[in-house]
Amino acid sequence: MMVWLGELLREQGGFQFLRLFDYLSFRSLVAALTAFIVTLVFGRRVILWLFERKFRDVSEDMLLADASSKRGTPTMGGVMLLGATSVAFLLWSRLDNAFGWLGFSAFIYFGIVGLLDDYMKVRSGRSRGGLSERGKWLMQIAFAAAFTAVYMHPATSPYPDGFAGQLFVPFLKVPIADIGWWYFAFAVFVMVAITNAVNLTDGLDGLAIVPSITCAGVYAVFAYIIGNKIQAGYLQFEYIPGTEELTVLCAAVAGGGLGFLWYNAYPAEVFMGDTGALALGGVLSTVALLLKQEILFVIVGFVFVIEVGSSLLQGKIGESIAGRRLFYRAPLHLTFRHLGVAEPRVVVRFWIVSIMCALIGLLTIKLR
Amino acid sequence: MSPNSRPILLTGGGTGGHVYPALAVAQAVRASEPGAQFVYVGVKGGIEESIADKNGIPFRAVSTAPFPGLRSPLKLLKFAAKVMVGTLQATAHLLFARPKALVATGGYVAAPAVFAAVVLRTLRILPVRIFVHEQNASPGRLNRLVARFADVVGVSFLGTEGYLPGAPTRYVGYPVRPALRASLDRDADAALPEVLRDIPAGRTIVLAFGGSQGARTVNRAVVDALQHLQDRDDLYIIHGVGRRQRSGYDPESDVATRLAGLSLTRDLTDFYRSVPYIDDIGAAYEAASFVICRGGAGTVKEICAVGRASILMPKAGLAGDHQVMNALVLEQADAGVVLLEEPTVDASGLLPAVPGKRLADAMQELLDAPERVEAMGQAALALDDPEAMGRILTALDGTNGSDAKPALSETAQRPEIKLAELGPAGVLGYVRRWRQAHEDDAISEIPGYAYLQYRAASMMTAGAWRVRNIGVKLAGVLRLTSLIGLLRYLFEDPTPAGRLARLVGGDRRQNGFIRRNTCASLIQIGVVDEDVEAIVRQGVNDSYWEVRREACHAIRRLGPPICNSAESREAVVRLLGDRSFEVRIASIRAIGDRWTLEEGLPLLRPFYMDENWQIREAVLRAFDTWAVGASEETLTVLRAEFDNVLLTAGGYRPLFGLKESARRVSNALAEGNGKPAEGASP
Repeated sequence: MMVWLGELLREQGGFQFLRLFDYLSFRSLVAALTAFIVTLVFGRRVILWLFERKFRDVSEDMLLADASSKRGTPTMGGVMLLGATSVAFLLWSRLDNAFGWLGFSAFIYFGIVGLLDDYMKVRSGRSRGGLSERGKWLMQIAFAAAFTAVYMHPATSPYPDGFAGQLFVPFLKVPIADIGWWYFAFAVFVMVAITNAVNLTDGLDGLAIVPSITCAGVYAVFAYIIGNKIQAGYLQFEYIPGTEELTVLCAAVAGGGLGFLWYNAYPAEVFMGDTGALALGGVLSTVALLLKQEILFVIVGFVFVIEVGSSLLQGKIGESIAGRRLFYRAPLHLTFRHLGVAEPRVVVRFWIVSIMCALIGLLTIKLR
Repeated sequence: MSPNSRPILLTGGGTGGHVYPALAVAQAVRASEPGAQFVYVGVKGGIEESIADKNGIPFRAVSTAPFPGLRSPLKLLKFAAKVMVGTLQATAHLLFARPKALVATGGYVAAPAVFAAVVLRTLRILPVRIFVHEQNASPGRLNRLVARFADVVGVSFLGTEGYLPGAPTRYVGYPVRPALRASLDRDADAALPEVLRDIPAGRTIVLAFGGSQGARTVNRAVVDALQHLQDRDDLYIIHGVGRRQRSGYDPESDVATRLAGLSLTRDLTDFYRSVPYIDDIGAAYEAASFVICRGGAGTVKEICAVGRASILMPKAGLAGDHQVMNALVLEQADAGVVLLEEPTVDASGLLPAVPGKRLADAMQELLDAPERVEAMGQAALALDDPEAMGRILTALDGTNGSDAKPALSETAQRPEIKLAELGPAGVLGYVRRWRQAHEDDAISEIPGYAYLQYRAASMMTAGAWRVRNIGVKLAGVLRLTSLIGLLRYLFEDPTPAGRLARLVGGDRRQNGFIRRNTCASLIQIGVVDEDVEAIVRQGVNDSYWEVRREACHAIRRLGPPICNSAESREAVVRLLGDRSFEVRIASIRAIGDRWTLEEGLPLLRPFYMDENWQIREAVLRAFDTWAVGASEETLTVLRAEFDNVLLTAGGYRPLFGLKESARRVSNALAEGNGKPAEGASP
């Protein structure tokens, strides 16, 4: 919106310095700052509002007794993230860009699904009282399918002909394969998998938000390069015009995430709930798909991948088929808790891993 | 075609228990209306076809299949297709025969005809009266499904109506074969059937049978009981062993081999006679003092009709456990004694069985109390309902005859009936809730204890491992000492898991969870015998860490003698070096609780600076145990050792001050609720 405002004012004459608003780097950084400041300013009020409306955590803490239980902490703090990121994105991105809107719509849609889930949990008073697992999956798959259909159909696709089905792999310059419409199933899988991975990771204070921030940061860099003809040419990326607006979106998510961490750092004053976790998963997965850097997520989102991987191995393979535990507990952060590592230390170690993974992810820009 | 010449369509089958009632109704209709026509709809080659043929009822075949459960979509699809085709076939049969009424006696065989009749009637193509009959105390799956579409659902037990809400259910009773009732009225001096001839005078005759196909549980129990009964000279057993049907259990050869294996001091033929089939069962009932049989609805109702005491061995694990429920109705009225099947180890694996000794004991008790047998027979007769057939014919006609119910004791209140409706997890939840609300050692007073015991055992032998797992847990929470042998059998079962499971880390059919919970249940049962020792001995060497952990806990918790045996002490020491820290902790705790300081301390020294604080904490707990009531000398030793234990902030557990205060306040507020009454009084 500010881009449009800047143009308008310049047409009136005078406000030539507002040309600044045309610069992507400026808009992205300011978007991050805006989102951060909005969460910081409104955070406390949102927490109190959530508390008054009785949106409080209903998890069954089996591990910890009374005075160390976090039950009752305000939850659904993802609304803070949703609001601040939306404000920043709508203010600082170009609103005539399809990529930005595609990513943003996933953020909002998944946020609303999470909101519904949280609301039902809180109202029923049980952590199992939310949306049924099947219902959640259906709602995710429905969006993923619609998104991928828009993404791939020649009439609506933001890509040139025959580009949507290409599969890019980190460390390689050229796509390894054109899987055509198989890409549809692949993309749906990627979205549902990433969304659920972020949701599963959201189990300790600050555990989901920091890896999300690092992921958003890495993807912001990628979006900047891929959407810039000179940079893309220099670094030998396939130039995709328009993707640069995803930088603004990623920056807004990262800024909002930092603001949320302000309150969510151990011991948390507020949890993001499914509202935040699903929204973050939704936006990260769509950005990865739109930039054609889905496989990169295995590296930069390594924390999410091992969390969901350990959970699936434990639940669907170990417990259901083999009839035994494969890990002490799952997802993986609970294994460390079971081993006796204190919660803040588990969280910080996961942060460290996620930062290292982000650096490796950035390495793939040059190492190709 | 006038309505009176329209036939009655009979359907139902799968087992004889669903066919005989339909046949009995047909016979009764024929007796009152000699010209009545019938058509039987069933599966080609099923038992219903042979019975219909034998009784001169025209038979029409349809395709159908038993419900395969929701697990496998492919099987479900196949099932749906078969039933759909069957329904089309049945529609054709119905349109061709134009019956005035349909008598459906349940079983999956009845599905196509009932569906077709419902469709034709709803579309107003063929007005047909649908009469569904349920024989058992708890209704079968098909009858539950179709009950609401029927004109009348007749049930055989009072209290069954509650299972079928919204259906036109009415108590009618069970249609006992007219021939059986007739045989009771015959002349006393009519010729005895062959099976009853040449029985020495003064003997108490006991009739044992398991139905026309024979029942392994009944046959084996009766044969095995013989050696415990051979000293009685007042007994004569008539045993109908049954005939082999197509495939499956071969009763005649089974009984012959088992009889050959007996070592009796007395001539068998002097007090026992076995025949494949008892043709004139009415006369046999008449002659018998009491009856040994299964718990099928037909059998139970016949026993009531003839007024005989009974020892019932109902078949375990049927839908809604209906045979057990039927049998319990008799036991409740003190008309019968119920011996529930228990899984028994046999050469070919686990089989549900009643041990011969148990049957022999129950028989001895009855033989020694003829007046009780007499009373039980009267109690059974009181449960009989001779008006049942009349009510069924009325319901079939659609006329509203007298609906008066016989004065029968209410049976729906028994806890077992509620429990039989619960799934495995529901039963476990019921027991756990009860345990929480009651004293620790009061578990045997839980309502339905005997049934729960039987249920736990039958779960432990289920095909699905999750059910077996719950059965194992149930054995623990119910503290079923009697199931320790079965727990050992499961634990030692070497059958490997399926290929897929082994591929992903599974090992045996009795998987890690089952073995872990076996050890955990032993701790709860709290008894040490040879079987427990064997399980623990193998548990500490198990390939799955959770089993080793629980076995180690068992050594600690069960105490002497198991914790003192050289073997288990050696095992605990070996487990100090286990790969899993959970097992190491269990081992350290066992040493702390069961070893003396002199023996234990050197073993624990290597753990003073262990990386995992939980290990160090276990060491400190051992110190704590040793310090209690220790001499000054010992304390000096411990003080010096204590100084070497690495104490870090590793054991960090948060204590949120605000939450702590909140807890105190909420306790105070909760107490405050009780007080105002005191203060309010002037």
